[in-house]
Amino acid sequence: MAEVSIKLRGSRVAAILAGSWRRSPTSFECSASELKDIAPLLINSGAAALCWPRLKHSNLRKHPATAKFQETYRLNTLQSALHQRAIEQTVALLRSAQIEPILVKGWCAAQLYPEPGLRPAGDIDLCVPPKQFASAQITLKNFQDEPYDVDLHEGFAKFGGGNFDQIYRRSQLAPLGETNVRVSGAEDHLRLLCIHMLREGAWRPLWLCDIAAAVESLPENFDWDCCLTEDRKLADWVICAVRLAQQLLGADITSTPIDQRAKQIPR
Amino acid sequence: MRETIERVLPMVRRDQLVVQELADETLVYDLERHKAHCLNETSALVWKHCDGKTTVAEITGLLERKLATPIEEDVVWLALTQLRRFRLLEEESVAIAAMSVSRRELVRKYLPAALALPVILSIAAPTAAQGASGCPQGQVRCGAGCCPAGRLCCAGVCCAAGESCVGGVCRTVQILD
Repeated sequence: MAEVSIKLRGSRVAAILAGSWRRSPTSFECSASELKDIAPLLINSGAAALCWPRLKHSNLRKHPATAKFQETYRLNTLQSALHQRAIEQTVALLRSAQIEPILVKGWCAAQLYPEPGLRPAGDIDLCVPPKQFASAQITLKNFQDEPYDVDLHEGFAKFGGGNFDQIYRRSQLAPLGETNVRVSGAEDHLRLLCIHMLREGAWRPLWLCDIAAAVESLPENFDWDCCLTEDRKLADWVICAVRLAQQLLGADITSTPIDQRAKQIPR
Repeated sequence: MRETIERVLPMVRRDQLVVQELADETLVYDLERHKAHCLNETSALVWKHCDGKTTVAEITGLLERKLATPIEEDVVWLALTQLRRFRLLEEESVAIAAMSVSRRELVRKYLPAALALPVILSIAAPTAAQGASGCPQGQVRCGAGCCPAGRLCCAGVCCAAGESCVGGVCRTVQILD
């Protein structure tokens, strides 16, 4: 009985998040009790604001249960502006120590959503060359004025590895406020999102939305061979994660080789 | 007094504020006081015109044109009173003219015009940790708790070292390449 309830709740969470990353998501209709049931899951996992565009024109738009979704959206909007300032300062600090970090996850994932308030901003994930990791740590530690929540990574080991220099060569500069920050190329970004989600136990449905948003905004020249790497295990992880985004959230993968490749994965 | 009020040139506070504009409201974060506010369209319109050069009468005219409805100065004064209370104006620019405006009276007065009176809501201030894992450095969020580095989170449970997550259960498996 409990298992059915968990499944039902999970399917409701998936239903409200389906397509939520798109520019004009369809209105989501459900009962107030259903929304109240899944609200804590969505709020505590950082996915509540994504639901707001689907709820604001729904039958529940004036219901008290919906207010928290709007408030989270507002907070995320402000938080994204504060987060941007923090990134600018942190990157400038590292650059002053001749370290060029690559920004990954949070802010990069948020750029694929139509509005900054849809996704919560968390810590600042920065990958630095392994040989500069120690000096990057020291540089940040000495920065006591505004201790931002920086998650510094030694290369890309935590995200499936890969040669830092190669990933750096594929990286690009993205405008952020008054400056530019270095972000990974689309191929590395998608792979990193998939591996990160699976390694963390996929406990946040937001991460699956990030993958769905990334898959639906791939550049025309996206290199799938590069994304899936030569490491078969990692490639399978990416395929599984993207397939999950399709099956649970309705991500459009028609222009990808994922369906074809998924058939080769043992079940 | 009338002459004094006519000379009032409200001025928006610019220091230590982060402003984000949405479709029908404006969000403001006060970095000094760590408070977040949400201004509805009417409040935001008044606030934007507080440039230290425009009188209350002129702001009223601008508002009237923008909202396409007859408005008197009392609406602008209500907005200024709130903006001042939330410290979104340069204090000196309105300190001399504290006009008493009754919201209840204005609700009755502007009800037929369906005018949204100025409203400023305080919202819970954003914290950096809200979107983060909330776990100590090196650990990962797992359900309600955190897993140590290198340990997998499996359906909300931390697996033992060396275990994998298979079908939502921690298991020791050998991955064949």
